[in-house]
Amino acid sequence: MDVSTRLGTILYALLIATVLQLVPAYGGWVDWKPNFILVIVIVLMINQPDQFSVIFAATVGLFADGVFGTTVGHFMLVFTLCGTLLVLLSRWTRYFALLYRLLVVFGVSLFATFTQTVLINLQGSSIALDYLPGMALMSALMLPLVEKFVGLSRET
Amino acid sequence: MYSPLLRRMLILCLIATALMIVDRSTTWLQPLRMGADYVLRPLNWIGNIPRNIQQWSDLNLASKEQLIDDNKRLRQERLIYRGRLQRMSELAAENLRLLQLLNASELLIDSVLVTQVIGISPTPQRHTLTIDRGADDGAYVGQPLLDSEGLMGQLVTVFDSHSVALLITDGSHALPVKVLRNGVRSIAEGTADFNRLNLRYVSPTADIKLGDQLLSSGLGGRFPAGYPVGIVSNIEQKPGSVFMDIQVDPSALLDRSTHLLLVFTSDSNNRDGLD
Repeated sequence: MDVSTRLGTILYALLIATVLQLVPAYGGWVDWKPNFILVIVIVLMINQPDQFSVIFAATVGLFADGVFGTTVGHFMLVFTLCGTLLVLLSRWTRYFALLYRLLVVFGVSLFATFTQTVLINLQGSSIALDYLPGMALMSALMLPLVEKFVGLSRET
Repeated sequence: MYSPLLRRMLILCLIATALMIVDRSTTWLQPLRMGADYVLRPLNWIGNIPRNIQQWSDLNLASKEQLIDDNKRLRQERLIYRGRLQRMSELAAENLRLLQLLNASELLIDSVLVTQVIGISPTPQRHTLTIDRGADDGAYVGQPLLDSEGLMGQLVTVFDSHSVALLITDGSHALPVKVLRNGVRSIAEGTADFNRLNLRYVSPTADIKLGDQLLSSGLGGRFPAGYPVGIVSNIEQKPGSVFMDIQVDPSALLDRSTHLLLVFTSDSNNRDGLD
């Protein structure tokens, strides 16, 4: 796959992730809705840490602020921290089998939602943490589909 | 390897924090937010396609028997509501006479505008709705929003053709309420749970019971008085705590209602943004 095709696929994946993020979820389903944009970033950074840096994560985070309607900089900060974590782990995660990659996505999603909640609570709102595991689990389960879509699927 | 990475992370975190401070304390980034909204509007529309298809199919693929049943039920409901309305008209007239006797300074008569939900917050941490009325329809920041059951929230961002409303269950929202039974006042605070509000600063001696209905008190001038907010569902006195822990079930169907009412109060002094 050449560079322009790869770039097109990534932009297309981000676009689809944004649309999926904007599909309304009602009632208890809200707590199970994965952060599709974060999953795309995690998948790219797990598989190709040399091409996708922390700056990429921060830029997508800024974009996510527009999508989610949060305070500008909120998701930028969360994605930057997740991106740093992923770069630090990348020397191992790039060799991980699917199950372990699922665990990484689960862990990073959990960390991201926890950080988000802490940031919101620091801004004066009170938010419970009970939705965290469900959202992280659903984000992890999206991994094989996203890897397949962006052409990063592996045998393991 | 780690040093440049950590330096980069630190710089990005500082930029993000600076952006958050600027966004929260000034309106400098408002044009950016408006621009993002215009760019994302088509994507929002695409995201709503599944729901629109469902609504269309509910409307068009219903069987004749179902439509007849619905029609019959709606006629019966209409009859009941007309009966209640007659009673309400009598009470309203009586209330007006009493207020005039008391020389009440101002009698608020609210008008409403029907609106539809066209988007909801993509994250459970924020309880917001996007509705299809904006500045072109006379909507303004701070305007109260109702559904058929009770108070939903208030507008926080108004665009030309649509607006974003903050729901009363959002973690950053609080509204003054009173108990219908005895007029005891309190503040209902959002909990980021669509089915729960908390009452703040209620002393253990306050006369609030399970099942008490709460109405907006009108204090603060943001929400008009007398709209249903919720019903007290749990009262707990934790040992060592100065105040009671009171939970309230919101009256409005916050995560289900699609058709809402924008309230235009006769008091127009509150159009200067959020408190």
